[in-house]
Amino acid sequence: MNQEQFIAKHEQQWLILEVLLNPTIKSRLLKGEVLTKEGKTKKISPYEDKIKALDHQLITQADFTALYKEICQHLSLAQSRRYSPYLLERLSFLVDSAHQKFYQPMHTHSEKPFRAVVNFFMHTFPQTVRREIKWLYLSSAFFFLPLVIMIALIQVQPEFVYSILSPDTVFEMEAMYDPSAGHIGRERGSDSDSKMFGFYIFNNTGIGFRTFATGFFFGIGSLFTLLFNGFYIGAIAGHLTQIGYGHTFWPFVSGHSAMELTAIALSGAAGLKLGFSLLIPRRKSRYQSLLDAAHIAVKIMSGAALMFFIAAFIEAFWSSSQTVPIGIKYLVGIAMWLVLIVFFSFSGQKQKTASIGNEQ
Amino acid sequence: MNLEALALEVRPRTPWEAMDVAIRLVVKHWQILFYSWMVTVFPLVLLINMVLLEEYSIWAFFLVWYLKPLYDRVPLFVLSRVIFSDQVSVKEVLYAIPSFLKTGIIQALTLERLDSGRAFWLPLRQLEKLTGKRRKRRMTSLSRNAKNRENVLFFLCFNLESLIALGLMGFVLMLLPEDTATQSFKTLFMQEEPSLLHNSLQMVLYFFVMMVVESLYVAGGFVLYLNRRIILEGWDIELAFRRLTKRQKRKPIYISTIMMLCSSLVFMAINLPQNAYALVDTNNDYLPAVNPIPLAGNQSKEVIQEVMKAPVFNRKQEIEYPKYTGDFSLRNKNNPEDTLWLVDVLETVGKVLARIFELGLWLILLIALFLLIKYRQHLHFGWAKKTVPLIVKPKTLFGLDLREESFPDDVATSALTLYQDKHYREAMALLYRATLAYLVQHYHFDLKTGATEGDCLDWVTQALSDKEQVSYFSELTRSWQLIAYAHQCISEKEMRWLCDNWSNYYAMSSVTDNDSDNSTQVKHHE
Amino acid sequence: MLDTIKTVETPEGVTLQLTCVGFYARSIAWLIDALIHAALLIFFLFVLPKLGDFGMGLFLIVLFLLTWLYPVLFEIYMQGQTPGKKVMGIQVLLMDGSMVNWSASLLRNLLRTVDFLPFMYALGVASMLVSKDFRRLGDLAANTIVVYKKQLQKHKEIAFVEPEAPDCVLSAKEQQIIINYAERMHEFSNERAEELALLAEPLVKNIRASKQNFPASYKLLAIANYLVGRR
Repeated sequence: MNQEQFIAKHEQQWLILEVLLNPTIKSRLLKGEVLTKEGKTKKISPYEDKIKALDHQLITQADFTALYKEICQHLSLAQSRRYSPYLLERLSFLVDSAHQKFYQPMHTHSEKPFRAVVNFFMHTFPQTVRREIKWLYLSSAFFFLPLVIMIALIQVQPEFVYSILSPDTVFEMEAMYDPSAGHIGRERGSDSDSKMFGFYIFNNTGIGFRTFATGFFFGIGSLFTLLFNGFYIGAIAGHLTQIGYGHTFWPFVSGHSAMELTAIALSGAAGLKLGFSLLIPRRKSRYQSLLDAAHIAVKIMSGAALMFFIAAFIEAFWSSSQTVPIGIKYLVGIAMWLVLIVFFSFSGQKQKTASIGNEQ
Repeated sequence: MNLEALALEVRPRTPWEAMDVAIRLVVKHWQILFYSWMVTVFPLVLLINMVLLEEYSIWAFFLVWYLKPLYDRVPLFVLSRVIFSDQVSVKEVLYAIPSFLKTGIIQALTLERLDSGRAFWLPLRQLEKLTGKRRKRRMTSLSRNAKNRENVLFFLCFNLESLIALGLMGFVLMLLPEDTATQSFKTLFMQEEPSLLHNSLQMVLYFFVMMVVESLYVAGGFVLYLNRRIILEGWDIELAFRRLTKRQKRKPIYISTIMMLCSSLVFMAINLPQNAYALVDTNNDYLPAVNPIPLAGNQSKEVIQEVMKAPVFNRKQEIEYPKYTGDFSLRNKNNPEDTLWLVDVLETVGKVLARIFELGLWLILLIALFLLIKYRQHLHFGWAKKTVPLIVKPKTLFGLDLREESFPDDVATSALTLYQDKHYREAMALLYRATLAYLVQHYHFDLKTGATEGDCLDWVTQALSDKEQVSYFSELTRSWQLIAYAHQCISEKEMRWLCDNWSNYYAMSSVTDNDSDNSTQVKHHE
Repeated sequence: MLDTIKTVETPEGVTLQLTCVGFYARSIAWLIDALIHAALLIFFLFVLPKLGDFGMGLFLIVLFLLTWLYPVLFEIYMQGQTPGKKVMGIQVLLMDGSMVNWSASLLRNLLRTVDFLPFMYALGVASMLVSKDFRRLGDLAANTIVVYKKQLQKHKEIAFVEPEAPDCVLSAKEQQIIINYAERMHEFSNERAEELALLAEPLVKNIRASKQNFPASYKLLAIANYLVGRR
């Protein structure tokens, strides 16, 4: 079969696929509108005239998968028969675009995006954390140990706070949680709560993302951020407790502490996983090891991002509230920790775990 | 010029792709480029600095920057050789220096110094040795109907150089000890007399940055130029036709004369381009060429003015935009009483929205909680149970049969026997497959049909606590892979070890179901 | 042979050719995105704070979304193209030629932080110089690649002349070359077209002294007409 016969025989299918691949053309064609809007110099498709002549039924009844497979065959045929490069270009364009549409990730345009999201956060996320729990332990050690040590140390040696924080910061913190000052006792309006909500989302999640990303340098960046934040937060908490502001400070932070601190530790864990995959690739090549680790780490990081959002919500709208009694605040704080522990231990356990053979 | 020697995949490209190819070219030949910069340009820069840097440091920097067109000749010489797969030595670069002087250096340093497309036009002077009118005509033919993007290339390289140079200096200064560093920042950004050390440091950094970026720039211009010629002259077709002729060669003598004729034609084409690139002949009866409308100079001016009078070109539009006053809020700070009512309204609206926003967030939280409780059975919440009924045990793994009925009673002995009978492959397969079957049976080994040996090993490493058992399995896997894929057999000693130890770990032989029919029994002989 | 094409084979057995994008086109795309970014920020900075503190909060959320999710959302929902990439006609794909997914896009954009270090994407540019397909560190970790998006072009018609069979047997590849020549011949000057045609010596050796100005290219055009089936 020569080229022109080949084209004559199959071109209709190519045109149909082209229409299916381009939503704009499809909707305009089915609505009977002009394909290329007036005033545009470039045509929406070089085959516009032929597309216009297509029967609408052919388009509505077309089977994308079947067409894709068939046109893959046409391309192979055309390649082996050495048809003209322009024809090959046209066919490979169709195959390329169809390939991309065919293999696009399921959840991007899945019919149940909501379920996919819930499924990720409720199952995949805790499962992944459980599987990579050693990294969470490691990053927690680098984060919570300095934090606790710092708090304890400052109770014994109060002036130690100045080795971590600048006097300005200390002063600022003292002013913020001063029990005698009016503002902490005053109920803020929803609007300033919203402002703080925005701020926490922007700032804290950003820090989390950076903690993760800088882990790329063999884990050093994550390690540094974890240690620094551990010491920093510990110093503030220790100092405020030591000077007797504890009963304004602790109720404030208790509500969101679980979410926020765990989220930081998780970002660190994801970063460490990424960095150590490069440092110690084990039996894989260094690059393969990075690919596999990155794939898992980004899941942990996505979950951690959601936790940052929740923490921001609690911090802005719950922690700041002054009408809630302190006892309830502590209670909620403890409850949040319990909820997290229960969540990570049990959620998605019963579900059939993704079996190894099916993983990529 | 021998197109067949081109170390470049010859095909028409977009200018962007051509620039990308240039990056590849530079990266591939960075060593010779580096050496040739060091032997030619570096001494010159050194000389300038020895004379000027101490007293007139600004002039030293200016001169080093100004002489760039001079340096361009070096990378272009190197690249024009390596692209034809020639080996270039540093010596050749040195010998070529006198020839560089004949490539319009005066014009390059005066009239054309600020020409942003200089890398694109340089090959005309240096490689085609064109001057004057011939060069002008050639320039028109190369730029006709085409966006060569040589200006974009310049823009990008210019920015690349400035950014890297400044960034690198800032970065290096940051690494220096504190008091030197603060001083350096001052000298970098403020007007203070910089020391010789700082100037030298900056000069060295600048030189290396310039070397890299200028090489990229010259290479970019060169490949753009080549690409233009590939399109205009159909080099890819020329190459293909030459190959065609060579393949179909039947009468060598006759063809060689033709070849000579052809090559002389090509030679003419390349050396006398102004003949070869005449406008498309409009008398031609079959080539669907575009007819340019012949217009004399004055005539065309009139036409243009006529066209410009059309209402399309005479539209005026007034655009209003808010003026930035330095304050985002509309409230009058000086006189708080004097506020616009709109501001109050907006801020009230903001407060109301905030309330709604907060309520909305709480609502979302409540709904989420409600949904979680309502659909709690979908959360798969709870302990992982030892027996997971959903798992379908695989019947085969990478083609190995795992059904219990396919095993003999005493797997280890049978395997050893098979080995001694020189059925090495069967022996290993039996042992390995029995192990897998055992794992599937007793450890709820959760593997899908598509799993590989590596997956199994991973699973075992994670799932089994007994270190020795894991190392036994990894040894077994290695032996199996060796014979399965590398066709190499382990020694008898090793095989004995494997068989002897097999029952230690897999003592409850996989074939515990005695009622299964062992149809493929292997004969025992001991 | 120097080239910037990466070949990928699909499960259907068709090979895809991806043209990798170097840092020139990518930096322009980045610049366009950065400008859009800045324009949006300035716009919101003018509008939102008028709603008081609530507006400020919204602004910060918008800032967060723009900083971290702007490229991700565009890459997921616009076939791997941010607006800047769309202008430049480039797109992000996975290494196997399929669309980027959430995890890959998130990863490559979160790791921008790393590529940006120590100043103005220095590490990213260095990585692109060293790696095989111009990939920055984020691309390496996410297993993605930036390619020129293919566009459908109308194939050029071959001018009609009386078809002539070639004098000798041609391989498939040679047929393809002749068709390619006929499709592109009006891009060359007539002299050059003739010169090229003369190179295909076995095909044009028997040309009659005809009325045509350029007998060899006429002959090849006639053969091309024959080869595409106009006989």
